[in-house]
Formats: sequence, structure tokens, C-alpha cells
Amino acid sequence: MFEPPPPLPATDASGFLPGPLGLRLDEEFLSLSAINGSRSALDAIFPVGNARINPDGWSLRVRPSAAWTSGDTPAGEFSSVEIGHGLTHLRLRGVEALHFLGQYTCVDLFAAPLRQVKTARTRLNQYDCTIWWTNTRDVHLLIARSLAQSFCDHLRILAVRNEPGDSFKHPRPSAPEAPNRRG
Amino acid sequence: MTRLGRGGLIDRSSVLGFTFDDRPLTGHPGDTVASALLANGRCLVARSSKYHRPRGILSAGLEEPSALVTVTDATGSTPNLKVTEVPLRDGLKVNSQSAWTGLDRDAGTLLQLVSRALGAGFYYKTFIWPRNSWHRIAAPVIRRAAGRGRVDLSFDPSNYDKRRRHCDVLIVGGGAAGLSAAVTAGRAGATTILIEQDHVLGGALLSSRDNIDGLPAPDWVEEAETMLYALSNVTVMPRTLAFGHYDHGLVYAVETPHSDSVASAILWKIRARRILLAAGAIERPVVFPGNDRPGVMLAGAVRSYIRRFAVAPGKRAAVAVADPAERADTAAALNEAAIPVVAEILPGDRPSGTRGRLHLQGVRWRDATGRHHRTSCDLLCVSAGWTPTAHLFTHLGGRLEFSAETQSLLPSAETCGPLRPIGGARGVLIAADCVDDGKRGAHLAMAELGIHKSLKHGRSAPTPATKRGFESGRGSTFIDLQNDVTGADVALAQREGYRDVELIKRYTTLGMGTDQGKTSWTNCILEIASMTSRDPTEIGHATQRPPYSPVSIGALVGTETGSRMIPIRRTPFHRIFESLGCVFQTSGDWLYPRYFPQPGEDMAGAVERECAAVRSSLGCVDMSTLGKIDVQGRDASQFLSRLYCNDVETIKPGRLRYALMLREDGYVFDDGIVARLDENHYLVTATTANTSSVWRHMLKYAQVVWPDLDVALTQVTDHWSSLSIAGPNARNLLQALDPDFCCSRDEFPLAAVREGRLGGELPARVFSASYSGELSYEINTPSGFAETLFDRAVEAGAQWEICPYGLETLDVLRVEKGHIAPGTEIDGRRTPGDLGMAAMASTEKDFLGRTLLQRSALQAGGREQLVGLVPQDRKTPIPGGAHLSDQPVDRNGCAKTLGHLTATIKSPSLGHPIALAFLKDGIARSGDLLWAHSPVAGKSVRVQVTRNCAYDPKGTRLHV
Repeated sequence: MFEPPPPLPATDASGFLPGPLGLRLDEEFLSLSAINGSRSALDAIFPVGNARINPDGWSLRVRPSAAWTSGDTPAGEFSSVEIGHGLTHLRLRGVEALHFLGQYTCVDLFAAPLRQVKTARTRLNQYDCTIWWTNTRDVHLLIARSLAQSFCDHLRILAVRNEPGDSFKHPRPSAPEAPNRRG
Repeated sequence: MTRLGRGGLIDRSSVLGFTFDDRPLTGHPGDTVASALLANGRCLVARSSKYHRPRGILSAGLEEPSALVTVTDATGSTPNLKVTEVPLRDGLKVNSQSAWTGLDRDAGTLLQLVSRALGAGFYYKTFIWPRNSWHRIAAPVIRRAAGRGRVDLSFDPSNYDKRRRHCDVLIVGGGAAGLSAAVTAGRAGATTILIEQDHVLGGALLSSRDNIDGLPAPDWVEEAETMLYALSNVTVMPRTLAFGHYDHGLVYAVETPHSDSVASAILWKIRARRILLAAGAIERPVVFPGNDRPGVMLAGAVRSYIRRFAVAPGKRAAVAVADPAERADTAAALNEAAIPVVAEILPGDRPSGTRGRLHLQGVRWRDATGRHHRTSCDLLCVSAGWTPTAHLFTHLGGRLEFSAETQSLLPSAETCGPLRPIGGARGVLIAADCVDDGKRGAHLAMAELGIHKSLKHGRSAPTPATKRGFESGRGSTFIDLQNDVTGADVALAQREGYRDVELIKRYTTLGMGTDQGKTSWTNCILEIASMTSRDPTEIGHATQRPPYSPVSIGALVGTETGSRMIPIRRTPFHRIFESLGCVFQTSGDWLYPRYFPQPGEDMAGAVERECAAVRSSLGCVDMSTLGKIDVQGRDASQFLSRLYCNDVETIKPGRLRYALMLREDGYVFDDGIVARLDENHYLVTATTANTSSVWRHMLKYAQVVWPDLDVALTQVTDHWSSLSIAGPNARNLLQALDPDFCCSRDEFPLAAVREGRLGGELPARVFSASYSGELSYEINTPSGFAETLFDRAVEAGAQWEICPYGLETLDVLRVEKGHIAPGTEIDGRRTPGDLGMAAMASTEKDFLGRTLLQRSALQAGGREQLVGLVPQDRKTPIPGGAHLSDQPVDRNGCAKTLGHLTATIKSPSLGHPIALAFLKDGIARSGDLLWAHSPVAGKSVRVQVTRNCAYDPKGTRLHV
């Protein structure tokens, strides 16, 4: 047995998006597994809708009986299915990365619950995707591999329609007592 | 030029050039097209749609009913824009519309001679005979005469976008109430969005001389704006029009960014927990004879043009304003512009007419004592009162009620869902009261959201109207200036029984068009009340629907145009197929390889070559689009046994079986392969078109119907790429790809599956299954290795001249074998028996759809069954979509139908055309001669009924 060759990317995402926002989009392979198990067994690890981000990996409970994890399979009675090649992992980096995406997602990425879990399964225009972030300048996206190239093309189209002059980008001083509503 | 020497919120340091009807004019940044036209002394800007009467500029805002123009810029032309809503840009070309030769000399004015014959609904009564005259003659002529501008059909290069926002509080309108509400909500810590249709905040305060909190109104606006920009939780969106209010706090708004922006328009979908509607109020014109003449202008608009745009809209003014304070303010504004006020027409007076051909030259009236007056003037400032702009309140079913106190339509409740009207939108008109009402409205919203405690503020009461209004003299009065609806039209509708306001609207067209009755509805209600001696509160109002003001279709569509309409799915082999010159086609969401032409080859040639390669040696095809669902668990066998109608529990590990899935109603839902990878581990496939449906179907049964079964489902369609190698040399290629792979007929027979590493390194699952009728293996590998697999297959298969093939060839091969496909044969109306697969439905177990499959109607004879067809002469192509009959068509082109074709090809392997068809009692008719009639192709072909499998019916080629 030999090591398999490195997987080839699904998209041409490797570099800056057009437009003045200075966003960088890159594809990185993410080894990902679907963990299936009983509801109670999964509940013991993380509740439905919850996500866990740590340096070793990322996990998200996607359904009552299933979770996705990029780390090791947790101990317990779980079956595991590799799905990493079916979901393309994109990283969007830049000062306005999360704000840019937040303009197009159905869910409010800056709502209090999401600011805590920093993960959302949502729809970005016509694309179902999973988004998570450690900070608002470094956002990870998972998108079905077959849609990934179209999605990247779509982000490029959106990026050129945004500009620093947009109202959401107006640099504004923050009052000291003002709550941080921008993530 | 009528530009004032000083004042105004315009930038005089720069000059913008534009044209109106090809005449070059100039203006300044900060101008609208309306103010620039007035500054250039241009008062006549349009002709009315019906009578072609000369029309000027009535207002200074979105309520403008008359001054519609076509505006052309670098992105093309847009008709029917209100001159009052278009910010002036350098290079704009503005053209009048609805004039047959020119604005000054419009041949359409001849219609005024027959205006008595053109009353409301005249076309319902007039063009009755001859019968077809309406469509052929009258309608085209009327449409041409009444048309407003022309749609630019050229490509629109504009960039449109659709975006979303969420907030605690959305404030619609940046006037006094809106600004104070935004400051209050922002300071309380709520995420706040303030949207304002204008490019500057302030609304009516920009042209007001009121003092607020001890500051002149414009200074107060500036201070509020500064406060908002200091709050990081407040977003201010100027140039944004909220045009629709929908369920659950959703407001649609369209932003028109500044002219040098890369986006032409942005549609915002704003989801707010509370919406404060601070859209202000619209001034109501005075209804009297000749009230539509250019030079008659709303008093508020006059103040705005003078104070905000530094334009003198006239040289001698008369004032007919009901409210004394506004009358005084208007007179003061005219005084500031050095326009003499030559007459004041007071409430209780009866304006009886105006004079002037293309522009107002004078007005006459009778005072309360009955004495006649007349004066020369070129500007008449009118105001009968104010109507709250509560359209968004009504979009979700909120009703407006006529208030005798304010003489206007007011929101009937304080709330409509999460929307709360404040300030002018609920009839509060005094600036200081609006500020207070905005503040209190915001406090109430904060309390409702739990952001702070309820402070139990009282609200400002709506501002009462003056007790006495203007009365109209005799003559033709215009109620709806946009649609040329007169008082006589409303009276006619009443006489003819159209008394309900909704019927009046439709019969007279009052309140229709881009205006949507902004300046006309209240006057219409008062007119009806006056004519019928009814109480105005009984009359009601017509339903107001989104959009509040016209929105470009481009903004509604956004980026989803052309090939971007639907997200395209690409297979993992897409890139490599592109490099081979593949022709792609969309198949559902997928961009699928159609055929691989060689230089100079057309599709037919390519398909023939690809078919020959598969039948004679080796071909490969991308099967990645097939749905793949991983099924695991102790009860996986039972779960699948219940879902599929044939026996799948007896599949041994390492083997696979073709399986049929029925719907609950007994009809065939989908087909595919069930492969048993391990004791409790299966992989099932679904057809490309049905993948999502099958996945949802399986999830529903696993989670909802049979939650007691221990089964785990994972969709792995995108994870596994699939390359099918087919042909007599398929086994040789598999051996070449991995010499250690024991793939002899005995070790790896048909209907087997094996997992491992191809060539010792490439993770793979190989399925011995065939769709082409040839020896075939479907090699699945994780999608990231798809190109590696393809490269290796092409390299190793070169010795057998491996030929990639596409969807066209795949279809030809499957029709030759009589295999079914979703959409054509699996069309939602077929039982297993109809498809010749009755034996697959197990009689020894229960399965989904079994009970309803036993229905007598599904078991009775006379059902259509899948058969094959060949032309009797073995030459003539059978037209696609043809209907089958045992009779030739009669003189009318009709024949009794016995069935229809589902697929037709010219078989390269057999050398003649063949087809698949559904035919009544088809299996029993084998050998019969029938007609295949195609009314579309205009052909009838004599065909013979055969078995559906035309190629290698015994399947010997699968077992070589």
C-alpha cells in the first residue's frame, strides 16, 4: 500500500477576489467525516445545532442523528463515513470577510447566538453552505463539491459589486459605551 | 435662469451638463432633474397620458404624478422616471414622453376636442362593433396614444445586487420623527438601520424654518446625523427606498448608490424585529377647474425648491394653502426668493379656473362672499392638507381610516405586525411633535424588545386639519393627474353603479400607475363623499400593494441572470473534459458531458463513433452525477427491504442488485443499485434527477416513520466520483489499472462490488454493473482523485483505443438495451408491471407502495406497457414524441391514440431506427403493425411492436 496522491482542488480559488475589498479566497482540503449515532449518544458530545471549534478540528451537529467532524471520531457507538471529498472547504480572508458574506446569507451572522457558536448552516443566495469562523477576518466555508466552482464564481461577481464606499463600510468611530454589534 | 443667487443645499462650485429633449442645460450637484429643469426655466415637462394636456412639476418628491420622463445614461434608457426622484448627473439625457411631435406642439391635444366622449371606461362601451376591431384597431391605437415611454430592449450592462440585513429596529424615513427615533434606539443599544429615500437626511426639515430644541431645523438635522454616525450600532442608508413590507418583519428596499458606484441598484431584504414607519406625509392638491396646468405646484414643493434647491419656480405667485401656518411659511419662502405674492386664496373660497396654454398665466376665484377675483400669476401654490404616507402599514393588511379630524386616511391601529407608524405617517405634522413622537415610538419599541423598561410615554395626537377647506368651482377638475381622471369620471362611475372604491379604481384607473394614488386618493374620497352625501369614513380606500414606488426589474433579479440563474453543478471530471474539447449540456443542475467531438465532427458523427467504440472495444463515461447514499446500521437491511419493492435482504456482502423503489401510491419512484459493502453497510444509488427526492424520502422514513430502526444515512454523492468503463475490453483495462485486482469472470462476476486501493494507492470501490449492455465496471474514487483516475484509465486504455463518451451516447446505448430512465419512462404514472418489471415486486414481503399497488386500477388490463418499436421499412426515422395508433390519421389529422413514444434513436449497432414507447397492452401486441403519428413533425411512420430490449436481449455480452 502506498499513500494516495494529494487530492486535486475542486475550484480555481487561490488568491484575491476582484474588487476593492481585498478579500482572499483559497481552497484547502479538509478531511471530514460524518458521524452517525443515536441522539442521546450525540447529545452527550454536543447538542443539536452546536458547533465546536478548536485547534484540532471543527465539529458541527447537523442533524439529530448526525454530526460532521474534521477531527478524530469521538469515542462511543458511532459509525463514521468519510465525506471530505464531497464538501469543498474554502477560506475567505480579509478585514471585511464575514461582513461581506453576512450581506448575502439568510441568517444573521451577527446575531447573538451565532456570535457565540461562530458557525452557521445557511443559504448564501442560492447556495447551501456551512460557515464558521474564529474571527471575522478568517471565515471557513463548506460547500458541496459539485457547486464549489459556481460558488466561487458567484463570490467573485458579488465582490466586484461591493466597494469601500458602501454604507456598511463607512469607517465610523465607536462610542466607548456602544455595544460591539459588528462581531 | 431662475436659480437664486444664494442659499440651497447645492454645490455651486461644480456644474453638471444634461439635456432635455436634446437641448443642453446645466445644474449643480445636489439638484434633482426637477429642480434643474425649473432652474433652467423649463416648466412644461410632460403631456398627460390620456388627453395630452400640458403638465408641469407638481411636487418635489416621489408623489409626483405628472412629470414622467425617459432618462438615458451610459447603461441605457429608463422610461417613466419622475423628474423629482432622479438626482442630476453629468451627461444625463432627459426626454419627454407621450408627445407625438413635441411638448410644445403635440398632435395628441386634438383628443381634448373629443374629451367628452373619452370618459371613464369609454373603451368598454365604444369598440364593440365590428367584433374584432378592438384587438386589431382600437387597442393598438389607444395603447400608442396612451403609452408612456418605450422600454429599452438593449443589453443592460448595469451591476445589480441583492443583499440582506438584520436589525433590532428599522426606521423608514430620515425626517424629524425618523431621526429622533434612530438616535433614541441607537443610544439604547439596539442595532438600528435608518433608511432614507433621499440622498440627504432631513426630509421636510431641509426646507423648514422651524426651530427644534432651540436649533434651526437644518442644524438640528446635522446634529442628529452627527450623533448617528458616532454610534457603531447604527447604519444609515441614504438613497434607499423601502417599497414593500412582508411577513415577519421583512422589508424590501432598493438602494440607488451614488453615480460612480459599481452597483447600479441594490435590493435590500431587511429583517427587523421592529419597524418604525417614519415616511412622513404627502401634501394634498386642491381640486378645482384647471388645477393641472403647469405652474400649479404644491406649496411644500415650492418651499423645497426655494430653500433646498435655490430655485425660483415662478415670478408672480398666488397662494391657496388651507393651513394658516403653512400659508405664512409659503409666503415667507416666496418672499425669500423675491417672488411677489399677488393673491391669497383662503379656505372657503372657490377657485373657479386657471388660464394659459402651456403654462399658468392667471387664476380666478370667488371668495366666501361670492365676489369674483382674478389675477395674473405664473405660480399657484396649493395645499389642501396632508395625507400620511402609510403604504407600508397597509401592505400586510393594515387598514387606513378616514379621520374627520385630520381630513386624511390614518392608520387604523398603532401597530401592524412589527410595524409602528410614527410622526407624519400617523398624522403628526408639527416638527417638534414629530421629534417627540419619534422618540416615544422608539422607546415603545425598545420596551417591546426588552431592551429597556416601558416608560409609559403618551403619544402626540395627529395634527387636526383646518376646519374649512377649499370648494371647487364648476368645470373640469382633475383628481388623478397621472391618469387624467376627472371629477366627472368619478361621478360617472357613481352613476353607473361602481360605488365601491375598488371598483372606482378599476373603472376610472384612479390611483393606478406609478403614482398609486399618492396625491389623489384622499381627494377622491372627499369627492365621492361630496357627490353622494356620504360620510367619508364609510368610503374606505383601495388596497395598496408593493411596490410603494416603481423598482427596476434588474434590481429585483440581481446577479441571477443568464447562466447564473441556477447554480451549476460540475462533476469532478469537468476540468479534464473541458481540456478534451467536450461539449457540455445542462441536465438538471448538472453541467454534463454531452459528446466529445473530434476536429470537423458533428454530434451525430461523434455519437456514432463513441457507440462503436463501446460496442467494439472500450469506452468510458462519467457517472458521478448518480446519487449515492451510504446506509449503515443493524437494521440497514430491513430499512432497505421496506423501501425497495424487490428482495434486497438476500444480497450477500460484496454483491449488488438492481432495485426498484415505489412511492406510497404504488407507482415507480426511482431505480438504482443496492450494493452490500458489509454485513450492515450498504451503498445505494439513485438516478441523477431523483437524487434529492430519494434522499429526502429516505431521511423522512428513517427519522419520522421508522425511528425505531437503527439506520444511519449519509449522502455521499459528491464525495465519490464515478467513471464507468464499458466494452469488451473493460476487464482488460481494470486489470491494467491494478494487476493485483482479481477480476476474472468467476472472481469478480456481474453484480459484484469490491473496495480497496486501485494500483495500491488510489482508494476505490469497483461495481460490476452495466447500463450500456456491455461488460462494464463503475470505478468510484473520492472526487479529489477523479482526474488521477481518468488520466490512468486513458493511459492504460490507449492500447484498446479507449473513447470517452457523453450523455448522447449513453442514451443511445440504454435505448438499445431498453433500459428505463427517469422523466421519460419513470414518469410518475408507471407500475413495475407497466415497465415490464412486475416480477421485481416481491410477493413475500411488505414494502412501501405494496398496498396501493394492489389497487384494481393498477392491476387491470389495458394499461400502457413499455415496448420497443422498429420502422416497418427499417429505414424511416420514427419522430420523437409521436403518438401510436392502429389507424392512419383522418382528414382532420386525428387518430385514436394507443400510446406514445418515450425515446427514439437511430441505432448504430443495429443499423436502423428504434424507439421505446408506452402502448396499451403493449406486451400482448408484440409484432403488431401500428402508426406513429407526429402532428408536430407532420409525419406518420408505420412501425412494428417489438420487445423493449433491441440489443443483445439474452445479455450474453455482460458475461464474457
